[in-house]
This record gives sequence, C-alpha cells and structure tokens, in this order.
Amino acid sequence: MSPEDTIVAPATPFGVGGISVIRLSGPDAVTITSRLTKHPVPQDRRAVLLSLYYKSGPSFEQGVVTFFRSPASYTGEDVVEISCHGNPLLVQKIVDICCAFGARIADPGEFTLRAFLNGKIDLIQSESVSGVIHAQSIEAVALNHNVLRGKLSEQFKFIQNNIIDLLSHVEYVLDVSEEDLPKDYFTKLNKMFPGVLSTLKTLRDSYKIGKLLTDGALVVIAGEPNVGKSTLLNALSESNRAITAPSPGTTRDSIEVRLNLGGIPLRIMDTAGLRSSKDSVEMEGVHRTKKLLSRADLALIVIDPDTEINPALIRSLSCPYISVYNKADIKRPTVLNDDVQCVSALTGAGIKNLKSSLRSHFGTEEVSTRLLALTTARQFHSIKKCYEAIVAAHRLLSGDNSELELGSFELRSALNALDVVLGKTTPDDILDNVFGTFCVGK
Amino acid sequence: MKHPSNHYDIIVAGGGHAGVEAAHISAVLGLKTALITLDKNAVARMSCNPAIGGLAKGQIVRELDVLGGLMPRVADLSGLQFKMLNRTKGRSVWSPRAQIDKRKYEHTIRLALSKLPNLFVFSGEIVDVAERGSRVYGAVLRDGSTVFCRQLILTFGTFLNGLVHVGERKINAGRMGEPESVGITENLIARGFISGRLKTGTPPRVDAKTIDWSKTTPSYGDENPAPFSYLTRNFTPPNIPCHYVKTGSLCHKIIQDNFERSPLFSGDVRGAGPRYCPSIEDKIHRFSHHDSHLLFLEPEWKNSDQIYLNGFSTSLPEDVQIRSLRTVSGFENARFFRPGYAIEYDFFPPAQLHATLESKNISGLYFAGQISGTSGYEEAAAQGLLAGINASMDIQEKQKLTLARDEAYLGVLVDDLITKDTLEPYRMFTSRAEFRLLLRYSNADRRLIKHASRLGVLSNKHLDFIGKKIDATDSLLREFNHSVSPSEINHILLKLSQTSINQNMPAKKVLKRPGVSIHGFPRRFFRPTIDVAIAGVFKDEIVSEVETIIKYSGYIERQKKQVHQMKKQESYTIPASLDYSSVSSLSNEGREKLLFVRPETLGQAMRISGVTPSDISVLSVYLAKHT
Repeated sequence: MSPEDTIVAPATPFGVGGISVIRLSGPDAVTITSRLTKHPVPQDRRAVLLSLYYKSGPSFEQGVVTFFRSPASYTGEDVVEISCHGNPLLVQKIVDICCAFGARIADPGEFTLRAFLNGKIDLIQSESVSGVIHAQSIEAVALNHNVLRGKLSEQFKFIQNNIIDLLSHVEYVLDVSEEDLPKDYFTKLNKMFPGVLSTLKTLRDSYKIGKLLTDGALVVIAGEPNVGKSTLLNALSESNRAITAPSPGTTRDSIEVRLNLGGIPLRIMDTAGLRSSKDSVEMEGVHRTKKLLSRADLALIVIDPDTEINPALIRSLSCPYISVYNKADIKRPTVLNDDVQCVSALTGAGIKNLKSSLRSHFGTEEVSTRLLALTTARQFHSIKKCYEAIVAAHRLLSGDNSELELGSFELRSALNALDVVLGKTTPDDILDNVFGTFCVGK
Repeated sequence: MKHPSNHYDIIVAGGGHAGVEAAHISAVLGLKTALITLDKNAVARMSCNPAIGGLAKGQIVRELDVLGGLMPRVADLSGLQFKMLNRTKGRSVWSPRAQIDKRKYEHTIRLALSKLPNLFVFSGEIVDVAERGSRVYGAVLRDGSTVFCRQLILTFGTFLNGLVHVGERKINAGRMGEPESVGITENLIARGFISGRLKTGTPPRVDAKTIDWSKTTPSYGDENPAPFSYLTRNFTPPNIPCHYVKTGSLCHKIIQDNFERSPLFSGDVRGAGPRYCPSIEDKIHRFSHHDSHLLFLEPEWKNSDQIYLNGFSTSLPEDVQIRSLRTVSGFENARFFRPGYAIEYDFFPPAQLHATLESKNISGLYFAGQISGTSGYEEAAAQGLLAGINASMDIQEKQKLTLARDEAYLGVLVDDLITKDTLEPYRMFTSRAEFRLLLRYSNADRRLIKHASRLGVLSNKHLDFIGKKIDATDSLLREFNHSVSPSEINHILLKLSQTSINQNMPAKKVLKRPGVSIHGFPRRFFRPTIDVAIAGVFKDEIVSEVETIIKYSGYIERQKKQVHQMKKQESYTIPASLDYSSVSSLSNEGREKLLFVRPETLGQAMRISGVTPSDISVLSVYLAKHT
C-alpha cells in the first residue's frame, strides 16, 4: 500500500440491488471524479446528481456524487462516493473507468487501513468496522458501534493507566528510595489490585457474549428418526422450513434456519435421524449429523414417548446439550427429570419455555444495546494475558516474601499484552491479519 | 616530563570522568592521545558527592570494569566503605556503592594516567573544532593555535557558559572556584549543532569540627564486600561510617519563608533541573506533608574535616542555608566551608549523535558526559569510555562498539540518549532497562566479555581473571544438575514448613522452590567451585549469581523471548538518506522528531519520544515499499 495512490472499490456488496456505492480515496479522487462527470466536484459534503461519462462517449448513467474533503473523511484523505443503480455490470464499468483515469482497485480492508494509518481510528476501532458490517442483529451492531466509538479503547486505557500507576509504585521502591520500606507499603500497594482485577475479569468474561453476538451460535437438533426434530425446527422458527412427514427418515439432509434470540444470531440446524440404516443416502445423512454435532455450540437432543436418551450419543457430544421431550400432547412423560424440556412441537406447547432455556443458556438475558464486550479473539487473548500477568503480579507482591522486581516484570508483561491491542508495539503481521479480514471497500 | 607536540591521534577536551576514561582507553589501545583541560591539577575531580556506584550506577561501574574502564579499579583502591544496596529488593536491582576518598581517587587516577607513555595531559582551553568538509582535523585553543588530531572527543562537563547561583548571587564559573568556558557553545552552534540549557546543584560542605557528632546516627558499609573490579585481589577496604540526621519543622519553616529568594522559584534559573535529585527547597515545596527529610553526612576523604551534606542540595542564599540548618539537631553551631549552589550550563541534545557517540554532523567528533545532558560520574565515565573506544577503532579501522539494550546499561544509556528528549539531566535507573532481569551487576562479565576480547581493552591478567570467574560460575551451576537426597535436604524443607522430598531429585529443582536458599545445600555442591583459585573475594557473588540463575530461570527465559521480539524490529534498518518529507501521513511532530533524530533502525524510531504508533505503521509500510 502506498498513501500516494488513489484507490477505488465498490462499497456495497456485489449483486443486484436498489443502489450500489463506489468509493474513491486518495489525492486524485477529485480529478478522477471530475473527468468521470465532466463537471467540477460538488461542494464538500453535498450530494449532487451528475451524469457519468467515459471519455468522449455519451452519458451512460446518472449517479449521486458526494465529496468528503480531507481530513474530514473516513480515511482522512479526499474521498468521493458515487451512488449508482445497483447493477453489477454498471458498478464494474465505473470502477474500470476510475482505474483508467489513474486509480487502482483497493486491497481488502485498505480504506480502513488508511483510516488507521491517518490516525482516524485506533486498532480496536478498526476491528469493529468489520464487526458493524457483518453484524447479524441490532444488539451486535450496537456492540460494535460502541467499540467503534472508542468505548472499548477507553476501557483498555483505563486498565493501562491503572497498571502504570501500580508499576510506578514498585519502581519507586526499586529505583529511588534507598531507605527501608514503610511498614504499610504492601498493604497500600495491594489495595490497588482488586479494581484492576475485577475490570479485567469483567472484560475477559464479556468475550463469551461478544463472540456470540458477533459470530452467532450453532444449535444442532439431533435424535432418533421420527421423534419430531423437523417439527421442532419449524416451531422454533415459526415457519415451515422443514418438510415433515409421519414416516421416519424424511429428513435426509441438514436444514438450517436463522433465529434472532435476544440479539444473538442463532443458526438452528435440523439433521437426519441417527439410526443404523442400509439406505446409503440416509447413511450419508447420519454421517453429516455427526460432523455437524462436532461443530455445534449447543445440541438439542430430542426424544419422544417411544424413545429414550441414547447414552452413547450423549457421551459422543463435545458441546453442552438440552434434552427435549417431544410429543407431550400425545403422552406426558411418566417420570420427568428437571433438566428435560417437555414440549409439543406440533401444538407449540412448551416452545416458549424452551426458548427461554436457550436464552439463559447463552446468557442473553442481560444483553442490551449499551453492552460493551470484547468482540475479537485478539482482544480476548490480550485481556486474558493481561489478567494472568496481573494475577501473578498480585501474588508476587503480596505476602512476606514479596518479589518486587518479578512483580514489576509481570506488570510490564501485562502492559505489553495491552500494547498488542492498543497498537503500541504491533508487529506488521498482526496488522496484515486485522486488515485482511475486511471485505473490499472497507 | 613528556613534551606536548602538535599532532595526536586523539584529543580529549576536558578532564572530568568522561575525559579521563576516553583518554585512558585511547592510550591503552596504543594511540597517541592528548588530554587538554582547563586545569590539569583538577583532572578526575569528584565535584559533587563522595560516592561511586549506587542504584543502577553500581551495575554501570561493573560494566566499565569489563570494558577496560579505570573508575572501578581506582574506586576499589580509594573506598572508605562499600555497601550492597537494595539487598532486600530482588537480585537484578542489587547495586554496589562505595563512599570514596576524593583526594585519593583523584590522585590515583592521575598517577595511572601518568604511567601511560603515549598519553599527554596539559592545561589549555579549547574554544573551537577545526574541521574541513565535515571532518575533524584538530582543536582550536584560546590563543588561536590549532592542535591537530584525527579524532576529537568533547567532554566539557558543566563548564560551558556555566552560571552558579547562590540565592540572588550569580557567578560565572564552571564549578565553584573554577572559571567557565566561553565561546565553544557559540562556535558549535555555528557549525550546525543545537544546544540547550540544564541545571544541577550541590549541597553545602560543612566543617566537621562544628558538628555535634553525638547527636547523629552512624551508618556503616558491609562486612565482607565484593570489589567493583575483577582485577582487585586481597580486598580489605576500610569501613568508615557515614552519619545521618533528620530535618524538622523549624528548618522547613525557615526555608518556606524564604522560597522567593531561591533562584529556582524566582525564575532566575532557566535550565531544567533533575526531578530525581531535588533541592531541599523543592522537597519541602512539593512534599509539604513530610515532617522531616533525611540528611547524610558523608566524609569527603579519610579523616576529612569537610563533610558533604547529602540531601541538602540547595541554591538558597547562604544566610538561609545556615539559619535553617542550625535548627537541625547536631548542627546548632555548624559552619560552612562552602555553601550549596545551583549551576546552569549548556549541553548539546544527544539526538545529534550516533550510537557510537560520534556526531552526525561532523565525523571524527565525539561528545561524552554532561555535555550530552547526563548527570553522574558513572554515566559520564561510561560515555567517555565508549567514545574513546570508538575513536580508537575508527583510527585502527576496526568495527566500532555499539551495545544493545539487552546487553548492558551502557546500551540502554546510549539508546535513550539518542532517541529520547532530554528534558532534565539524564540519570540511569534500573527501570529504564526493560530487560532488567538480564542486566545484573553479577553477570556483567558474561554479558560483555566477548566485546572486551575483540576490542583488546583488557590486560591478559584481567581477561584471565574474568574467564576464571565465569568458569567457576558454570561449574557451580553444573553441580546443581546433580541430585540431592531426601536425607540431605529434608531437614531444611521441614524448617521452611515445605513438603519434603521422598526420593533423589535434581538439586536445582528443589532450589527453585520459593524460600529455599542455596546455602541450605550440602557442602559437596560447593567444593569444586571453592577450589578454583578465582573464587576468593568473589565467592559470595558466584554463589548468589548461581542461585539467581536457577531461581529466575523461568523469568529469564521469558525475558529472552522479549529480547528476541525487539531484535526483529532492530533488524529493519532505515536508510540514512530517507526523505521524511516524502512520507505522507506522518504526524507533524513525528516527522519533526524523525528528521532531527534520523533513527538508524525501526526499533529506534519506535522509542523516539513524540513518534506515535501510527507514525511507525506509516513508516514501516513506506520502508517495505521503497527499500
């Protein structure tokens, strides 16, 4: 990447739609646009409808052109956005013309990379840009928006300042004072730990929910044939997505529906029933079910009045599960354990309870649009490392044989762990990784 | 009498601790060297406190010993007491310090210099650099004559436009009672250098006969201290006490009432003073909640009638100094030989230097010591030694010496100097070394010996002693790979209420347990080491170093990983010709700083104050594309 280049790319997804937006950024954005429109570039931040031309040819399209003057733009450079009709061929043509006029196609994430390099956003914020784009629920959008507004960075900086505080205390004793330590020294020092530790712990634990909001969760419905798995899928999603029939083995392939459960995007998958069969198609279905289960975040194991929980199946699970007793309208179970959900997928009885079990399983009861949580694995590992280092520092600095310089070492490691996210000492390969995950145009 | 001539390989300007080391090592390396200083009878003068070493500085003194410095050997010969500081605070911050007989120190250094056949010391005032095409060829003296040389090392200390403050009184002087140097700053500025102004201070010297010693508390050195130099044998130094007293509220009140008469508060002093070594008025002003401050009474030489009042650095008027001090118990009838004072002087921000201490503007010209914005004898000596070595290497056409941050405090010192803003006189602290755990005073030998051998700065005897000490350490380390049996160690573990071992176990594994000391292990572990002739005075140090290596092994490994990461950044070099104005997107401050410092590696660029992480990203992307 070179900041002297002007880059161009569609900012909206490829495909047919109402409108598409093409974005140009860089020193030549203005010249390229005026050649494309045969018109001076409109006033800063005012949308103007202009005809688009290629060289001496006739106008091939009209587009709404908006100019953002540097540095008050997304990338910090001169940016022009052109909205045109949502036809991929048209979008391609405009991009091609821009390139003919001196722009080049942006690399994945290059607009955001430039925003970062120009100091418009920090590393945490740049990660959340991709989060906002890919978010699948309002709560997830809100979470990433909070991160984008710098709230998570603030939290990181708060922790950083606290650690610097602690470290200054330790260094003072090591480096400046040649006198003996005052008696209450370690008591004072140790009072500073709980605040940092609890903030770190809260943040660390927030990744569970942050990850769920960002990535969603996979729920797999499994059980023996004909216990009503597909009916349960339809009941949960309030649709008729899956074909149901009274005969066992109706579902041969996995069927997926998406369900927004309190903000968490769930992918619920119905699967072929698990039984030994000689039908090769059905066998393949069983194989797929097992594969799916190995990736699942949660399994719903369905039984009915004629079947029982298969202990071998439970043992093979690598994820948590909820047992669901279906067809309760036909026959109530004789003995019912507390941890078995009793429903009738057909009548809808018990479905509400099942949903609230799912909700409490994923911990979405407290999700609100004010939520602040870690959203990427990198943030999580940084906070986790930082937390572990602070725990170690606390251990080294309390008690009778306190090890000041080792405590200091851990405090410094904690700071280094944060630096990775705050962008202080980020090696290039991490940068590449972060920006490589963005779609072209952002 | 050696006759001064007009042509030298190396000229060292200034005879303080930087100048002495620079001249000494140049002569040792076989170069014809001149040490030209204002007063040749003041060479190696300790103008402030009568001590060498101390926190972080003790480690530097040890490094000097391995790199051929004179300071450690002479400190061993002229110490009044020796003490290991920070003994309760962790291995890597243990720092040796000695109270020094200033007269003996000065005398011994001059004697050592006089024995070098190719070193010529004479009085003279250098006022300008003789250069042609940005290349030094000599030094210009006050009378206009030029002395020729191939390399010139400037170590002017606090003498450049020195201005002494005692209350409202201002005296032009380099040190109290010695003339200042005028003209050199202006001439260097004319040659493209940038100068700044700093301040430092010193406390009053009190007549020992006027102190009531019965009201003071004595403070002794260690019983069996280790010397600074690996060359020192049969070390039986004296143990002459310092004493201390405490100031009280009456003393503080008198000083408070006279704040406006201190040039620090009146605004008369423009140079920035060191925050870590505040004057007594500063301490009372900033920490008004402290009821008292400690004052150390340090003898300046053996049977000294002159007492250095450590902790009472001041630039208050003399009458306020004496009145406030006389309220302190024991000082009721105290008299001064000399009041405390502050001194302002010119310095040259060291970002104008390479890591070899050669200036970027003029080749063959080096700066070392307080002229580069540092404070302290040890920091000065270290730079002088490095400048002397590199000037010599240049003439001998050998590879110059630069030290990395994980290798030596000397490396940290120079790297900080050339990348950080100098806002106050720079003093070394252990916390400046991010790889502190690796930089122990007790492993300076191992860290630097390969440089010493290459450079040829040590005598064979010295090299041999150091080699033997390293061997003894390794041999003791190997002993601890052997097993220790339950019957040998369980009684110790029991005393520490730790779980006993029920079968033979590698000794180092048991030693790693918190609270278990190496001294609890049976004698058979130590015998092979103790038999080594070298052990002698360094026996305790070897044993403690081995204990440290074993106990800290996990941390040392982690620290080495951090070093590895740093080295990666250091391996990206930045071409000296890089045109920063063509790198768009740099912040204004970042660009300015990069232009001034002209870092040699990306790692260095990252450490420059004012250069942001985003500047570094921009720079690395630019470099990846253009180099």
